[in-house]
Amino acid sequence: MKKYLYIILLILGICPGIIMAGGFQINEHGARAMGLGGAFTAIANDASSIYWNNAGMTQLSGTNFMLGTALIAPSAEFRGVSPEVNKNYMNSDVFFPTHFFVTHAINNSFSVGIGFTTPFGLGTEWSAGWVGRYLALKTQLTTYWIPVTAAYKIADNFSIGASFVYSFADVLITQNSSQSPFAGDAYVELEGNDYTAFGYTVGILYKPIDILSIGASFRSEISYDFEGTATTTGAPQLMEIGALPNGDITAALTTPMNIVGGIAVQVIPQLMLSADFQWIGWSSYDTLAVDFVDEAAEDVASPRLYKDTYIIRFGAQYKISDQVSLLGGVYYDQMPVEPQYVNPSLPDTDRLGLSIGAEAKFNEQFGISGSYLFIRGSQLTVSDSQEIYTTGNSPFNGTYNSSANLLSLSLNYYLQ
Amino acid sequence: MKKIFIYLCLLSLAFIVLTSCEDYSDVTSPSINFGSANFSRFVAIGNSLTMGEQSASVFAAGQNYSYGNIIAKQVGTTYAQAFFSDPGTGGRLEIAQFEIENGSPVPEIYENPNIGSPTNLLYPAPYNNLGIKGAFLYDVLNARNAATCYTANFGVPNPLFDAVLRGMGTQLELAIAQEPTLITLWIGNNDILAFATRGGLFPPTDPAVFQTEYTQVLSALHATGAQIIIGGLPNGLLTPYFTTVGPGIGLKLQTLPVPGLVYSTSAPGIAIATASQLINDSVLVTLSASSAAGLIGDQTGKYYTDNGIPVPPGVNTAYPFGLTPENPFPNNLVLDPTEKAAYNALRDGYNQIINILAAQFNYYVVNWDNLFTSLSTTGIEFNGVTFNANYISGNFFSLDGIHPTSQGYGIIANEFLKAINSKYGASIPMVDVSAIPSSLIFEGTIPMGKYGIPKIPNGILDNVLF
Repeated sequence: MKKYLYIILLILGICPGIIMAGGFQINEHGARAMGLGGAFTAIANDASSIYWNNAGMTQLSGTNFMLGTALIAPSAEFRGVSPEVNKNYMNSDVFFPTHFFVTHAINNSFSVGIGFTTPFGLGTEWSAGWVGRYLALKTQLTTYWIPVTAAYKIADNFSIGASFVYSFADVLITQNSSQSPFAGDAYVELEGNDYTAFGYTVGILYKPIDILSIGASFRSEISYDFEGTATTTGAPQLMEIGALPNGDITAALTTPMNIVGGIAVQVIPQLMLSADFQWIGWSSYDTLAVDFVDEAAEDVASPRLYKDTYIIRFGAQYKISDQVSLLGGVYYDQMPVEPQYVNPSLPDTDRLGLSIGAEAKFNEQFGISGSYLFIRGSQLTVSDSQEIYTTGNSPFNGTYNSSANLLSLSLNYYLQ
Repeated sequence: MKKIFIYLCLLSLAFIVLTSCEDYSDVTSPSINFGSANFSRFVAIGNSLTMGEQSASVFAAGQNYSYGNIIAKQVGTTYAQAFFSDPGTGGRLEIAQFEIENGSPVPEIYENPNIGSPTNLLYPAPYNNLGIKGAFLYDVLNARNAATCYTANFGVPNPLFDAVLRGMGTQLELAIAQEPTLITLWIGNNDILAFATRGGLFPPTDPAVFQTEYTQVLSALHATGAQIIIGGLPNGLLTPYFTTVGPGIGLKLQTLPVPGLVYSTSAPGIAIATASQLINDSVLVTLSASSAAGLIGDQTGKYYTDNGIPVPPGVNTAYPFGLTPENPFPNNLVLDPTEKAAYNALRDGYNQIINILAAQFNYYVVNWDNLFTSLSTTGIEFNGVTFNANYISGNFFSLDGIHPTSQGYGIIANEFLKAINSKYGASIPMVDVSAIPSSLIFEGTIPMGKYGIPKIPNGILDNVLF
């Protein structure tokens, strides 16, 4: 075990720097699932099943607690603007989305649960004064989910589950805007939140034979109506005459539905293999629009035109002893955005995720799992960008590279 | 089985390490086809337009976008300049504030009282940018310092000759000393512009002298064997320096029961410019007159007391200023149809001299007439940014109304690049003007319509030169 930890630390030391999933979905909800490359829908046998596949809750007896966090350290680089190849680095920043799940088996066939996690979010920040400052400086979006869940075992090998999701979210977008024809840039800050959004998820889990498990999960779209304020600061002379937009704003955002199908096979008693196919309805995100409540102010809308996309996931779990298991996973995540709409606020690309992890049970009550995920974004060169970075209409063409390191740790506590 | 799994783990670890630490694939800029153009030693000779003046001052942030420096960056060659720290060589115009008049913002202009200092005096060779604000054609051949420059003959020694030439020789000598491979020569603007900005009161260079001097300059440069691109003389009367205040006065006079603006003429006497003559630019009033324009009708002599000018003989300030023969609008602020015609004839003559000489030596002359005409009529568009000849909102001219903005210099640089491409079979890409920062500076520190008459303090634009 020490040996593996050593290797993990070694990798962390060699390869600093990380990213999230395609679009702004976060798929890290439990260290064990992350260690399996997220191929967890047909397994779903810990408290994080509330997120992954709530039907899996019926596999758990007693009361189960899981508390954990992921450490997400993305990095991205932009070379451009074409024909120039100047390197611009995204500021390094670390995010700690926390997850907490509780399940309770009321009887052999009926379980309830509640959770807290952050299924969508992004955080990017580029240096002040950088060439793409009219497109993005700091962008932060976080959605929080509180799923309230029930699961029922219809037959010994067949369970269903459903969750009602209460969600809230906040968003912060900052960028510069030109004061053309006057010198200097104005600084625009848009912030908003929505404390009342709702969604639902359903799941099924079926075990036709002992060594085979099949799961499916559906997570609904959630629509947010952000309300907030736009603050633009610039030359006092322009602010005095109200030439810079300020005021209350609204913005709508719909996070995509997810449909996931998974399979898990107990190849030998020690080894379980799993695979997931996750379909994501990103086409819900077609425009990023900010509307000023004041009719006189000009509304802002930029097309995003996301398309539906998918992730393919594979995982392996090897049980070294009753106490210790090793985890490994790999996934491929297809980008949801057309290259011409890629914006530095979210340097999206096709991504490959590689994960390793370990799980240990110290006693009947207490266990811990940890995993490491490296995500490599494929190099993306944009040559027909629709994103404008000047006072005119010059396209933000160039080459993006991105990667991310993620570390996740979950504590599990079991009460009979 | 356990071993196999461990090996698999190690293999995937190795894969992670390799992929994550691998260098990204190289990205390179496309190479530029220079044709036969040779930028290895690029020198520019000229006046303030070459030096990179904006808003009546030469300062580093503006000099970075002198047309020569824009060209040099685009082609990747060195281009040393005589930089000045903020706010530059003095008298920089900035925007103090806006006042809302009739629903549209009117800028109030502030003259920065501070003067910066030269920051590149120790550069060990002549500057590539030999443009000197205020240089006449005479100066290229003769000026070695402030005391020997053309305007010194009129009692105005120009210290910028000291700052740029640094006692090493004339503009021409310093150009030749660099063994230039490519020269831009854009001189002669002031020889005619000074006449116009002073309402016809400054003597223009005699065309015969102009021809002699231009021949000397071009012959000497020809002897270097360098490629030479010549800038012709644009029509300065199309700049907002001449087209902003007159129409504003015209609109105001339309509402008054008066025949028009009564002004004194260069030949002693008075004349009347009707409102429509002022609106359609047949009588031009300089931007320098913007404060005087606000005093039309004044019966206290405020124009003369504000400027510390003695009241001219025969003028009775008890009569309404600019509306009566007894108290006419000053001659030096007005370019009337006779003076306009004189300007146009002189400019045509100079340009003809330049074109004939250039043809003899087989050099390309950049003709600015299309650009300036487009700016003053339809406007032009580059990469989504629109430009026209309106003061401030037009985006092309800086706050002095006559020198370009940084983006305006980008357009000028592109005209030179087009000339080089055409003459020397090159295909140097145009500069993305929209990526050049906007450059009208605020005092101390979004889309708008055409402005009214800007409020410019008395006197600050009286001595505008290229």
